[in-house]
Amino acid sequence: MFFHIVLERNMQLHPRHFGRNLRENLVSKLMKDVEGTCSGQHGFVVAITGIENIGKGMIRDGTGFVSFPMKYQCVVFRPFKGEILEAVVTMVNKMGFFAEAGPVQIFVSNHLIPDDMEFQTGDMPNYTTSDGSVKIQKDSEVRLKIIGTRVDATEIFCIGTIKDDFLGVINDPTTA
Amino acid sequence: MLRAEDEDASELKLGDDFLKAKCLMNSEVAILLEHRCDQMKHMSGESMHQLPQVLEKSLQYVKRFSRFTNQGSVKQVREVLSRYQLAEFELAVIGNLCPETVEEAKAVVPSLKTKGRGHDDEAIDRLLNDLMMIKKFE
Amino acid sequence: MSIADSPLHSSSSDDFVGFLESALDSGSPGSSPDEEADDDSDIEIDSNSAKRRKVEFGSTEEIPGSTSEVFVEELSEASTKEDICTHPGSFGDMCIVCGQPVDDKSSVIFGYIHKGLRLNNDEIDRLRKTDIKKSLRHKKLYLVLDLDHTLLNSTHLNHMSAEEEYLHSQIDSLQDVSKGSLFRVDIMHMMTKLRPFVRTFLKEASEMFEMYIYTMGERAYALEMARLLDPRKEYFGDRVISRDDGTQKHQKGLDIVLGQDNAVVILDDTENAWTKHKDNLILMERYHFFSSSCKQFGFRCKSLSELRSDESEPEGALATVLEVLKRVHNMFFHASNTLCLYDGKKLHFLCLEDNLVERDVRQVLKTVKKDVLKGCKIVFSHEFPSNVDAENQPLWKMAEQLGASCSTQVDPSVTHVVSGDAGTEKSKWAVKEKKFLVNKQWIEAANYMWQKQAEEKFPVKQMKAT
Repeated sequence: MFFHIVLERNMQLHPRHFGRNLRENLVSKLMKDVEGTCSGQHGFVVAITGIENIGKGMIRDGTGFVSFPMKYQCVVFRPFKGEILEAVVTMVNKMGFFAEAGPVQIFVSNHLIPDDMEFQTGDMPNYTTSDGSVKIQKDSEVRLKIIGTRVDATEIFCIGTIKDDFLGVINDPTTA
Repeated sequence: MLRAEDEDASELKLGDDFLKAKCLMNSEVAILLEHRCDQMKHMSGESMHQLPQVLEKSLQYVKRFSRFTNQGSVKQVREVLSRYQLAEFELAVIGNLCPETVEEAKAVVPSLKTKGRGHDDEAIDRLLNDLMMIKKFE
Repeated sequence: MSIADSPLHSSSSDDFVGFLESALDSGSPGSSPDEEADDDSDIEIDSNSAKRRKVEFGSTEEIPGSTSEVFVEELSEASTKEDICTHPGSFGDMCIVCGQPVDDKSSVIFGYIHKGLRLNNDEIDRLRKTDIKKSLRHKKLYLVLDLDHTLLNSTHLNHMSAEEEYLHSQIDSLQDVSKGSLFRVDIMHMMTKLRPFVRTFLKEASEMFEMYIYTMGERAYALEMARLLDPRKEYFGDRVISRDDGTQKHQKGLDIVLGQDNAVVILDDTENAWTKHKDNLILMERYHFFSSSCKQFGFRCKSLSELRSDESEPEGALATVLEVLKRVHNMFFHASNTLCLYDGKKLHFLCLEDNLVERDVRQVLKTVKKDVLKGCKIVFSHEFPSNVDAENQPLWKMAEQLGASCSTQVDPSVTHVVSGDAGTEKSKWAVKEKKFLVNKQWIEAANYMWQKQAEEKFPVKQMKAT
């Protein structure tokens, strides 16, 4: 799920960047430092959308740097266990398939793919029902439920399932 | 703070940080990010050929999975859904997935089934109809 | 020093705040208490860390009052359904079936599929069992292919000799690699020559096998080579295994190949890499195209590149081995599909289709190999030191594996004398008795080519002053 939230961060800036462009320098440094980062608490910071407030600068003892507390609005992406979302299939193999929801990687193991779908090898590996009516392959769009999430320093991993009502393929790239 | 294992979106257990946070539908994020990308291109001129990866992937994602593209209807979806006593999270999931039947809506947003919320099937059906009308006239 | 009161409306992000508010109609966060954060003592500041704190939420919208009450109820009845899960594998340290965090360091990492994916042995077995049934139904076995000296030869650009300079003008385009065979991969500072016949080989082998690449090269190299060999990703898919993915140093193992050992054939030029799987291996004659490759293996002769020559396309190693693979495949699937068993009273016809799973390609390889020198009886003359057991010598064993029988004594049934010197007694005997007199490369060549070689190509010279 995408959220619009307000976060705070202390930005350190050397006085040589002060002057007329102080605010702009702070904002662009903030964007560079924060956008694209990932944390367990907030997920991916996708984009800063606005600056709420920049507090008074504090000189850091001994370094000459000045630290400014900044409050900013941003769009974050954070998947939740139990969440149902749509994703694009990126890789299909014997173990199951991988899908992406934006920057988040989701693995759906073959244990969590309906039993009537069977793996087919070939140059376009896929899971297909016996009557051939439903097919999951690279680039398919699927609706899945997240049953586990884990965040590391740069990535978020999820375990997903399509073994439930109203889950599964929503768009077959071969018939689209 | 809620432990990761105890999170469960189907019961709206999102942890303190996100419980009251504003959720965005993919369609809304698409508008926001497209604006942001235009801005970045404008600021850096032609020098920037590639967007940062997280931004790029998110943008591709929300563009692909936006049910509504017209800014007016995106706004309307939020207005309409806001009338139905939904949690932020529920509102965004419904706006993202646009379930077609009451049964499907309750499957993708299981918290709707919680007793005492006042979401009887009739109300859900009305909500889905409203949503369909917006889509129809987009 | 405060800039909180200097609005600087020129800032582009300010424009955006306005845009956001109108586009999203979001609750204005302007009402939030302005923290005149001079120094909030519990905010740790560390210029090196990316630590950040959330202060508050931008939204002023409230969740309907009823929901928060529901939470409390729901919390208490959580964690009631607890199925027992065997945790067959993990992705990002979460069980791939139940999603719970797991810490299983004993399972096998499938890094070539995804760096966060691990499977335990039972799950690997299960996948192999399901897969082999399907593969056999499609009449497919598994083929693991080495890259360097087997399918291609690469050299570092800096290691190219002056006589190889001309190659730079002959490289093929990287745009459409499907037709070329000589490529300069600048990002890796390498030049790569594909072995003659490799395209036909891959195409035909892919009809009989599910194929893997398995190289001791690093991952980036493996992927780049896979791209040259298989630009449309029709042969290997994600089955590209590199040094980084192996579970043992300096060893290749079938533990990360999702094919059952009894259905895997390996092509590699390095026997020592497969100590546990020698029976699955077809040893390949090394392809040395570049001079650096010759040097690396101690050859002082000019390389193919320096001679402006190449291995033969129709008679080279890949064409030869493809024929062997066809024979192996054919024997595995078609040899006596039904088996007659007489139990003393009745004749039973057993259809082997069901028993295909029981068949072992390693046995088939042995059988095919035993046909190569079938009917030959070989005597070795001065090939081994006198103080060792001849039966344990690699050459002796090789001849036996090829189906020949070996002896230390000459007798009328002997067909070949293998010698390094035409002047020895046994050599003279061979000439007198009109037996074949060949040098030991006759056996080695048969071993590589899986075919008996013409004896006259392996003459034995007279050594001086014996």
